[in-house]
Amino acid sequence: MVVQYVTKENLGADEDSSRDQYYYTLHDPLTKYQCQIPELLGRRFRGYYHGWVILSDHLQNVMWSLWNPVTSKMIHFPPLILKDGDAVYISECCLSAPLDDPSSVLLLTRKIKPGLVFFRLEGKRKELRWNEMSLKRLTGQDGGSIGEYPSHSLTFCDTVTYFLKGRGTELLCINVGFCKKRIEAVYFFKLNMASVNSEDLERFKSLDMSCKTWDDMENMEAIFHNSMRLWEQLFDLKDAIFFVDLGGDKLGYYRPGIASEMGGYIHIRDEIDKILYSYNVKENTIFLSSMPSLVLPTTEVSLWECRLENDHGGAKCTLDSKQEENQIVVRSVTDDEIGLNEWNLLNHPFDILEMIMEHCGCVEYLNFRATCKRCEVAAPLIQWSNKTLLRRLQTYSLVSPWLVVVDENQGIITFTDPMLGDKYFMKNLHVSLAYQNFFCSRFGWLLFFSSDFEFESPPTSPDCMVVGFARSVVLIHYVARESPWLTICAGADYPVFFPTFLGKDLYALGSDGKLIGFKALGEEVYSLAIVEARSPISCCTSPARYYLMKCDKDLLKVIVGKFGERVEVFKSDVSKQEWEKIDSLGNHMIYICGTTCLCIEAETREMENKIYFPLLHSKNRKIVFYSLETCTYQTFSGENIQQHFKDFIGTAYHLYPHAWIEPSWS
Amino acid sequence: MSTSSSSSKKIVLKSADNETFEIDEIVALESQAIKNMIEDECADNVIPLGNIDSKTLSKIIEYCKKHAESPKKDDNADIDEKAVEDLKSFDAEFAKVDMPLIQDILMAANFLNIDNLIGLMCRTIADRIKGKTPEEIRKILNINKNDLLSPEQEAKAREENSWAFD
Repeated sequence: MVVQYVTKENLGADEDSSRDQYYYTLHDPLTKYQCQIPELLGRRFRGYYHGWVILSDHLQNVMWSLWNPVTSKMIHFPPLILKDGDAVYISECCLSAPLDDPSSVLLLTRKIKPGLVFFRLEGKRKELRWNEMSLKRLTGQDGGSIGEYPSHSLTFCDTVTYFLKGRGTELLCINVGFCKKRIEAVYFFKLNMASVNSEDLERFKSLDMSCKTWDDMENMEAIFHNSMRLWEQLFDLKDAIFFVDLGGDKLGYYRPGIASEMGGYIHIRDEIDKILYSYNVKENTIFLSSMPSLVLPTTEVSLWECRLENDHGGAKCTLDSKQEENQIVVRSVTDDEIGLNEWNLLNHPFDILEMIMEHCGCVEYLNFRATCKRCEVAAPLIQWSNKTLLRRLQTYSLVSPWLVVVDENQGIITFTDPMLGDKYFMKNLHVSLAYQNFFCSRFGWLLFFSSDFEFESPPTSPDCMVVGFARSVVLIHYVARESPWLTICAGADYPVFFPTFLGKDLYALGSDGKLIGFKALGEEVYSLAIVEARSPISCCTSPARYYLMKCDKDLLKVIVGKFGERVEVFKSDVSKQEWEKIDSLGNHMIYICGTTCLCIEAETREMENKIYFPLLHSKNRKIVFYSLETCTYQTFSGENIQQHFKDFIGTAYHLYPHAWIEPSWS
Repeated sequence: MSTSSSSSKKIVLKSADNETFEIDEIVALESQAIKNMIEDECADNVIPLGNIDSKTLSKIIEYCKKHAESPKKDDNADIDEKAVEDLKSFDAEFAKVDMPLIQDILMAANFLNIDNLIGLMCRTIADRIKGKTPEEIRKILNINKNDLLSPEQEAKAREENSWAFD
């Protein structure tokens, strides 16, 4: 089994060579290793390329070596003595090709003086000496496959942008956007300078492509924004991996040599929290994993891969075969039962089977169909968009709302059933959803476009009212009456979140999480009163997220810590304007996400008293929920409840637009 | 099971395990099949039901009695709402039995041609498989593994299903 590691070398002031290194696998972030590797003692980890670790002695950067963690083979280089005797300022290094490649070169770049040192790793190694070279000559050649690219970064507002020079004439840009101190957007752009026409090239004239680093980042940023249309956004990294260290302002890149399935990620190390965000470019999701507690913000982190000796897939195989056995046991029991009782679905006449099918809603229908051959024959594949079949669906209600996620790149809408974990896809969209955002989901209808909106009743009902909030005005539109939008001056703080109707009154949360109420909105003679109820006292220490929803005749406010380490539910008595903390939802369940919050009565016992998050467990890919009974996060696995964890670490969140929807086929 | 009112005609049903049930004709007429037999005068006093055991048959008679007592919709336009509610709650209670019995009742109801009961049992089965995975449905309905889809077929069904909303 191939494991990827992050090593952390504590490069504190004391040069204690006996210090430990910490390793942990990105694929199983909960398992951490603390160990001493003799080969790494007194040496500094400089890079990892083509299965080899580049090491240098700690202070002087004079003794360089290559170490293969799989074979434990070590290659030592002669001491590096530069002409000016200034070896300390080596900034970057890389191995250009696997060692068996005759063109393989170990490259080192100098920090202060533009220059390059290389060591040619030919088979015979007649010339066992370091070569120095000016940088101009390197950029003159076609780049080849240089593993690591220099980087520089610039922080502005809530976005961090990283530029790096790619292969040959390529320029790469990683843009990381923050919202409430959590990464909410990652964009990856590429620009091939060779394809840029001379007119556009003017914009880049101030950019010295021969330079390995760019010091004038403000200039770089301006260039990027001026040339936005030239950049191509990439949605697939293939097997490449990037590592961004926000604290250390470092960026690394490599292609895994052992396992290509680990590629396609941009790992981002947060500077404040001990969190590693692993951004999957293709899925547009972010996995959260925690950094070991011993890692300090100053600790240097590097990423490499290695094959663990005891880990040749053995454990995994054993587990699988065990499960297989269990399944067989279960089945043989079932067979016995069939022998004892002579009843069986097969005994039913075909028309009976069809009649049962007729009572099944869409998902049951699909699942029933998948149970056996006979059922498959009895139930033809149904295109659910077919209008004549809608009768079946209208009478049907699902056990749970679904999480709807719009993949803007592929134009696919994915529906995830939180209970079963099943996924359904929709491709032939009637509307273009690219670059749209959801604002509200009610009664099985999604509202998208701009600002914050709220439905009062289903759009097909004659009373449907859509309410929108713009800067200090409230817009009201009656869908059934073809009247223009009604504008009311509200004087409320903007923006507002989670607008929620309670009868004719509308409530919403201000950006600070305070409750704002609009009395009798939309009445002929409406009285506009802003109610600011007292905020509940939360124990959250981290920047919290607030969610507002309606529960029967009450308002509920859910406060969630930044990484879910705390979840609190408050119930409001609107008449008293007071919040009361509650420990149980009874037979209700809550669905929360950035746009839609629902609180509904649970149809089955196992679903109640839980808060469902738009998060996926990073291993079983199921929807994560918080149980108010156990005060832990869990996922469903069949009827069993699996996994208990205390925060969002080990889960993934969507960056694509997503919302909870109560499927309705009307 | 022999609650007889003296005036009406009696019908005797005989189960597979040779237990006899004497019921009012009006109750027996809930079954379209028995009704046809009586109308065609091919029914003796005792109707043998060789494929229905006594447990199932007693349940079916319980159902037919209740439904025969209740006023029919076409009898009276303004049927008592309470009676409708009463019948609904009876049906709900009636369906609270284990899956083998449900399936037995369903098969017997199909044989005896009792439309309402067939509908009730189908609805009950559909309700029981609500929110269940194919594997769980197999267990609930005791589907023989010989009839399972091959892995390829199941994968195909899954693929078809996952795009069903296109």
